[in-house]
Amino acid sequence: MTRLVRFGVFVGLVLAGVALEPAQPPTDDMRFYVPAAQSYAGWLSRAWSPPSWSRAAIDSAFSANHEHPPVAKYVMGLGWLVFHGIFGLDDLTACRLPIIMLWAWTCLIIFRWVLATAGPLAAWASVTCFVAMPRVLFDAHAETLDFTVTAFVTAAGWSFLQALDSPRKRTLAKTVALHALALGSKLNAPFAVAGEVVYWLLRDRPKLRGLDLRLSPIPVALLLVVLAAPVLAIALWPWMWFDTAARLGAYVRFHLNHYNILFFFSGTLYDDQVAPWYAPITMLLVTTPLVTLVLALVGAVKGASSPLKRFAGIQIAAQLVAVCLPGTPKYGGVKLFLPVFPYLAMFAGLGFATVARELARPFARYALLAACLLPSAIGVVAYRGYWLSYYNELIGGVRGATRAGFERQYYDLGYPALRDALKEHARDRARVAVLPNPKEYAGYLRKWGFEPGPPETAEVVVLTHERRWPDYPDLQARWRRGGRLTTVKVGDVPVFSIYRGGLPERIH
Amino acid sequence: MKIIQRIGAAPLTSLLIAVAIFATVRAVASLTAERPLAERPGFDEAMSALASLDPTTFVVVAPPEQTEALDHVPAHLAASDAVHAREALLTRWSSFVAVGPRGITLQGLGAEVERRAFGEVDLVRYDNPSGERVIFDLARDLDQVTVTLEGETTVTCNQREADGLHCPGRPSWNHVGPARLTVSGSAWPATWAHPVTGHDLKIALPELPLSEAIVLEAALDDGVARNGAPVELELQVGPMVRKYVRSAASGVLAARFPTTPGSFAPVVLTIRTAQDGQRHLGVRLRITTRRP
Repeated sequence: MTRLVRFGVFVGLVLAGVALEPAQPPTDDMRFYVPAAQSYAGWLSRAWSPPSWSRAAIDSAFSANHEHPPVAKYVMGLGWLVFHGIFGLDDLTACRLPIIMLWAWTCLIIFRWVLATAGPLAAWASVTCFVAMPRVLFDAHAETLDFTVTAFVTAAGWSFLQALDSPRKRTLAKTVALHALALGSKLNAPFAVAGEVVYWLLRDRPKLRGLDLRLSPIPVALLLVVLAAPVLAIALWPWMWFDTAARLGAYVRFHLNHYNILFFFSGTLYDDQVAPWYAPITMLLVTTPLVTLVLALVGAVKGASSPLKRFAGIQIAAQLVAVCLPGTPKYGGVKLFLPVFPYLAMFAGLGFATVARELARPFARYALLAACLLPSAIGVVAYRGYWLSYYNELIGGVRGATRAGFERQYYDLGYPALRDALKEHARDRARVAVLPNPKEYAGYLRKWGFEPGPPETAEVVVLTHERRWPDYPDLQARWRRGGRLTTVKVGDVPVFSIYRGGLPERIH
Repeated sequence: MKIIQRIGAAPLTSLLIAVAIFATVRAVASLTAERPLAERPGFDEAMSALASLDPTTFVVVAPPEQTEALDHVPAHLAASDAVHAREALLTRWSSFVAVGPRGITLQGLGAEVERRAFGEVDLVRYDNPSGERVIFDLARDLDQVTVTLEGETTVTCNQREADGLHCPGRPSWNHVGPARLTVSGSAWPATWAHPVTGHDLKIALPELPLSEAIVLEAALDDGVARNGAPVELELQVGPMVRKYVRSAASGVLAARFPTTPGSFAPVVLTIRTAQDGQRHLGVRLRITTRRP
């Protein structure tokens, strides 16, 4: 693949990513990350002038959302500078475009990595399985940190394997840079580094003679990843340049004592308590398209042994073990372990190549791949605009998942369908209350030409059907009495309902 | 025979085709709309049967995607498409009735007490498992109370924040909301109600039918319990007033104020202290009745 072809494929993938979903709803993280991205980008654009490097200027620019490292916000911020500043796109779209570009880049990495290991059929199967993961598509179109860390973790992993085999300066520099970008994106990137250490220990096994344990020589790539990449990651974060120890401590403390996020899992509401250890694995099993899961299993069990296969398996395990540990927060569907999915897609590709060896004719192989992708493609199309509500065929889609006590969505999404339904059922400037979590919707409502207000005085009341809120049953019991105006569904399951406001009596 | 031979020759391919077909069928089926509950034979009769229930019953339509069936549930009944199996939420009601297709069950509500079939629709009754119904619980029903801070001037504490009701212009500790204190060495979930020197912190309940008694508990957090002034709690039910003192010591003050079942009277809890330093007070206030 020449550079020109690669660039062409990249552009094609970006266009496909945009075309797949031009109107994904904004998330409740938008109000944190988009202003932070704008602030960081503003500082970057002024960085040539010496006053920008003063503590006051840096603190002012980087105090926004300093609870999280900056790289994902740089990515969004650069998009904002270019696509908003030059091409005039709206803030949200401008911040999302570079995330979609990272998704396209990740697709290319998956393709090239698998191509080099297992040939074109496995590469095509991997990348198409990855493209047809609705939950991943959601994050690939969202103004959040999760896809950025996924992209950089994948790229860093590929580069690390190359640097292990061929430790040339350029490869080593790239490896360190990509790891710094990953570590500078989100808190789950270090788990990938831990996986790399495990990979090396299994590859170059320590020798034990009696009580004498001898490590193999540590590869320079690993040394740089462990020692230099974290330093570079901190160097990329100007907020940490001053009071470094105190601010690093505050960062660690914030995440060790992260405020609780509600999680509705298997019919039980988790708030004070953390969900059971197997919750992330369950979420993985019910939100990855079934055929992809089966192919990945075949790849893991029957696929030919290769460094990629071992590395991908360790990376999947590292991310899952970290998030399954007792006490680790568990919420938000699959986003906390999103870096698993590129590797899962690679396993699926290796699995498909193994299966396809039974077929002699190339046409039959690609026809089989198309048949395998059909149910996933149905999911992508049917849940378009609602990818966060996607559940796989194993559990019976979002309807089966809702019956089994899983969340329909969790991100307080500002669905375009909600905007349209409100336009239909409420007058301009009408006072609207969105329950159970009104706070996150105030911004959307103002943007759509409505006034957020308390439910007691609202003309219409929206209930998002999020059962993770303890007061959901009471709220529905109360506001249904005003009369239901409409319900918007995905997969035959209500996502939100709109009720008449006024003041239905309290329930006792 | 030929098919078996082909499967034997390509077992993984056959497995994959079978999985792909299964997944495609399941995907299409899961997206196909099911017949709404309200259109099933027997639904109207089931709704007529619900009409005779008293309003201490909570109706749950099931499965949960059948939200639209709630439009037909009699208006005098509280009804939802979900119920959380948590004591604080369950004890508000004397019983629960599930409305759903034949064979429907609700998890977390214990054993079903009665099942009635109406055509293709079942009504299933579950009784409140605790045996008593909590008519009012300050922690649960905080959104129903009126909080004022009365001194030289009166402040209405109606500023709703994530941690409860705040008093505008007052420091953040001066709020009423959920809290977890440590009392006698154990976690003690309660409602934070820090008294203020020279002021009366008043919590007025909405008008509710009273039962046999109002139960009040109050405690200071272990970390500060012995370091300050006693706290006075005054419970007023209509014209009757009783005063209690939470002395500067660890432990729970528990009081029971007898009332006349079925009567209505304004209920106000007033909290005051001579010196408010470190008076980290939590209260529990509940009106309960035996399940009818």
